[in-house]
Amino acid sequence: MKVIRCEQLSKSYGHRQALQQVTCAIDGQKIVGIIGRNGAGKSTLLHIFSGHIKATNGTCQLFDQNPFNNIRTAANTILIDDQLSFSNYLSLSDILTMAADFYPNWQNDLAYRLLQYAEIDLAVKHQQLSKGHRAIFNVVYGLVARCAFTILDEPMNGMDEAIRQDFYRVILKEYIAFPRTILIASHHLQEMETILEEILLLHKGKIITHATIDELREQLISLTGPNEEIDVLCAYLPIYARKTMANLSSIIVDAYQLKLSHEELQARGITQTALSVSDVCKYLTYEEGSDIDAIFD
Amino acid sequence: MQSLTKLSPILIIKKQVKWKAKLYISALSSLVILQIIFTLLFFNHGNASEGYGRGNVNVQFFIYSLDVYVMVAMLWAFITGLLFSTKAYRRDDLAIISSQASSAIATILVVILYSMIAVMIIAASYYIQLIGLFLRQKDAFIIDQLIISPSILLVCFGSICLFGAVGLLVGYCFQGPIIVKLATILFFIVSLFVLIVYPEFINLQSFILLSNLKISICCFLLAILCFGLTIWIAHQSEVSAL
Repeated sequence: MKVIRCEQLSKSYGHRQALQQVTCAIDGQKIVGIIGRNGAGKSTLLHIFSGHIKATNGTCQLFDQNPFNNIRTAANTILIDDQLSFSNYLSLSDILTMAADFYPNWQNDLAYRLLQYAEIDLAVKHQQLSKGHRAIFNVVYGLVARCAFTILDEPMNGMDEAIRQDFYRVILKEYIAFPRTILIASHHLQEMETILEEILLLHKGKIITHATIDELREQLISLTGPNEEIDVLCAYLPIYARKTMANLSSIIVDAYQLKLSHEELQARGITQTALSVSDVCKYLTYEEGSDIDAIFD
Repeated sequence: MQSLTKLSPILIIKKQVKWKAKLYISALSSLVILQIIFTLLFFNHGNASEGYGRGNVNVQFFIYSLDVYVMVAMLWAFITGLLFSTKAYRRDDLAIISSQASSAIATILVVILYSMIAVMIIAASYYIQLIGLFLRQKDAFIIDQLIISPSILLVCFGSICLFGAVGLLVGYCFQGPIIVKLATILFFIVSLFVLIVYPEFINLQSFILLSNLKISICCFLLAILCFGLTIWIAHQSEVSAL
């Protein structure tokens, strides 16, 4: 059984197309990163998965059922985002008691230990927490619920770097303890690429790529060499970005379309450098004229 | 593949009702405060009065009845229903296992439960007022009906429930899909037009003259219709539209 299966999924808000013809499938228990620039459609896609919004066109199946307003899929799904809110009448401790009543796999002890580690006072209310503490509480809430399908939308926003590193480990440890499908939408790809198995890259409402971390890392490479040699390559290769400094040029190209071997490149005075996953995602969503420096030129 | 959690929708709704009933308890305390205020306001001169005079003799009747309490409770139920359908309340439901429809059903059950409690509060307010008047013993005191008849309580329950249901429905209409919002606005405009141009069209006289049982059945049927529409709208609603 596929966890998620989307076909030709589109979502529009008036004239604005948030998602366009998205087709993807996620199967098995894994941690998948939903990556994309601001406004790429990440949150819209996650809200469709969680059943909070309805696709304008196309189909979405979660555990072989349409998730929109579906209580059966909702029982196996938890969406954590910065909009998560709780009643003003509940302290954090009460919230944990309430959640334990709803979620059958709820880990109360673990929740208490994690919140104690983060020095969060359980007597206060959710609205009284600082931005960072609220983010920590939300992540803990999402993880200890141990839902088969856990969605974390920008979970680390507001947390300091040290605690972010801690909580990436928490996510991984919780995943090992109770394997499930975890989707994480985040802009901190560099920090979390070690815990991700796959990446779903979105740009302007479309899926640019859906690949494993290793496949994605190998997708683009950086070539640096004399201008004239780089120009020759540019003639037949699609270029994702180019920077020229004096006689040297640096280009980002698709590794699979490069027909030259490492030795041939060396013979032309071109050096090949691997890119980080974060850089690959940046260049795959790079657009002509999107250079910030161009604004000041 | 790990096994999926299979919770029955009824169990989820039961849990939602349990927590909502606990969390929304302040709505009931606001009703108690309202009833106390109105009891104090009408304590000296009743809800209605009537007087006769001949020569040196002046007779004045002060009538104390349930009517004001019921009207206050109906208004309270409408506002409470409206409040329960607001973004703040509905967003809180997303933190637990819920769908828009299950949340709406749970809220409806809480409105029904609170309407029952509201009837008890009304009856209690009425009797407290009677005890207060009895203890004061300033004037002659005639009790027409010491025990409130069950049919009157049923009318009270039905009308409070109906107003709660209307409040909830109006709230959901304005938070629902765009087509529902437009239909609601159109309905209000047409209703206002009919009310102003053909006031005789709205005639509740024959309705009021019906027996208590018939009035309560009408109220319950209308409340069920409103609740049904609320669930339907909730089922069509998206979270982004909240």
